[in-house]
Amino acid sequence: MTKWFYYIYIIAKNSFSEKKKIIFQMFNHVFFLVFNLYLYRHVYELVPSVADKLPYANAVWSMSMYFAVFWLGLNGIEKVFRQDILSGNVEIYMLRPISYIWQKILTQLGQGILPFISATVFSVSINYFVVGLPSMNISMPLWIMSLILIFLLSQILITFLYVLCGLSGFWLQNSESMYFVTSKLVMILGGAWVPIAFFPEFLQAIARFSPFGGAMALSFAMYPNFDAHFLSIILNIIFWIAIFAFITYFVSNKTNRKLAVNG
Amino acid sequence: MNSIKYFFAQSRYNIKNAHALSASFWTGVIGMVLNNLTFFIIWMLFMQATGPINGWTSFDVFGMLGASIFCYGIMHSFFYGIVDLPDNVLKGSFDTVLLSPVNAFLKLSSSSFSITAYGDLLQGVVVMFLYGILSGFSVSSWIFYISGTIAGCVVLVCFRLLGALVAFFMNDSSIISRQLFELFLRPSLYPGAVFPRGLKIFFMTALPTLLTSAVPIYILKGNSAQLLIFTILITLVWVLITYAVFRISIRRYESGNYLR
Repeated sequence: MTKWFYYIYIIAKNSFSEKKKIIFQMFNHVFFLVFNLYLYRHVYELVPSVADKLPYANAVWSMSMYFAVFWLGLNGIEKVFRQDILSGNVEIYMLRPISYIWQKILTQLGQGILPFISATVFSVSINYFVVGLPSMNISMPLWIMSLILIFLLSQILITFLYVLCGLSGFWLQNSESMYFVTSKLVMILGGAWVPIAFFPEFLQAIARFSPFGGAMALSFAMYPNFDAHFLSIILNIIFWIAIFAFITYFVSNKTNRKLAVNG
Repeated sequence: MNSIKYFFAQSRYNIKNAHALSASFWTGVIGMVLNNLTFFIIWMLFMQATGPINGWTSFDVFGMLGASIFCYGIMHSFFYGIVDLPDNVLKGSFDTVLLSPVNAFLKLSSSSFSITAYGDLLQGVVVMFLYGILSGFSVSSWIFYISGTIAGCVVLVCFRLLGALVAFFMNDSSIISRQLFELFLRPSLYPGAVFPRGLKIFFMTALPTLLTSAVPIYILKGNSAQLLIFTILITLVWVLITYAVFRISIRRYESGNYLR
């Protein structure tokens, strides 16, 4: 375990040398955050009835959390797999003492940790100072603890989703189409651009009980009735983690047999 | 004239080249069409929840996304070489563009292509056509819609190029170039109806992202020749700025004496 944290630490330290990149990423994040705040405030002024579906502060927090988590970059795992498969470099990584999949996950985490922390700090500060805290039916400490739990579980689920997309490249050669479909389903059902509270009831249920919505469940945790759905959200994520862990184990064993070394 | 002939010949060659691997070509095209459908679904659901906003219905958002996808398709089908500019500068392979007897911008633009962008282009044409037919466009409406969209395409190429030109001032700028482009692209994917006046003016002039999406619909809905003229003027201003920055930037280029 210590070895893994050290691996992440080394990658994070290296990525800090690309300060310019992180500064631009955060500039982009803050710009988009402020833009979103301003735009949705206007929408709520134009159509006050949408506040019945979701209060303004909760809508803003929900979308900004989606984009903060996005910077962790676990959705980029598929691209790394794809590049290695297409370039034929995959065998180089397979000779190392840590398994190929773990190397890629830890590298993504190492590269994403700084942008993620920065984006979260910016999101929380800007949202807090502009719209205040989202209205919640549960106490603040309990809510924060639930957020941490949901964040950790949903990131495990999202990792499995994109690892599976990447592994499909061993059969498809180019797994980009798998990525397109998965990322867009996560985008719609995770409430990226429009909170799912705006969707019809049946779509909200699909979002809540699908792996794609579960992978971005942190955005649902910003809704006022979150306490009523807490248990179902957690159970849904755990259920999908178990399913995808089994599939990943099965598929990753098959990939070793599928690998063709170019020499 | 020779440069323009070269550009069209190269573009034709790029399309043939892309189509040579037909399975890969159609997978890419269909993948992109499905990818774009996401935005149609998201905004359709949004408009269903809010109802018409400022006179815009979900069908207008459909037309707006058609224009936006078309602009994106034009840019990445015919001018994709611009995207590779930061890498060319870094590796020192920009020499081949400068030493070519044809116009540097056209040579650079047509030097590469994106297969998936042909999906954008096809979908953009179909959506725009459907929007026009189902809305019962008059001749003037078609002129407004198409002219507004063409101005959007020009502005998008300008901004993609301006973002890429950072490479002449900074090392390893491909990520920064991409971030600048995302900054430009994102607001264009929101329905034009939800922009407050101040933000609308900002995104039509200082960062003219709405020109690539909502402005053709603003022109149509207002039946406004003045807005079309204003759009063309803004486009011309950005073309001049891009031209000036391009000239300044390429003078800064230092060859890496990269042996090939």
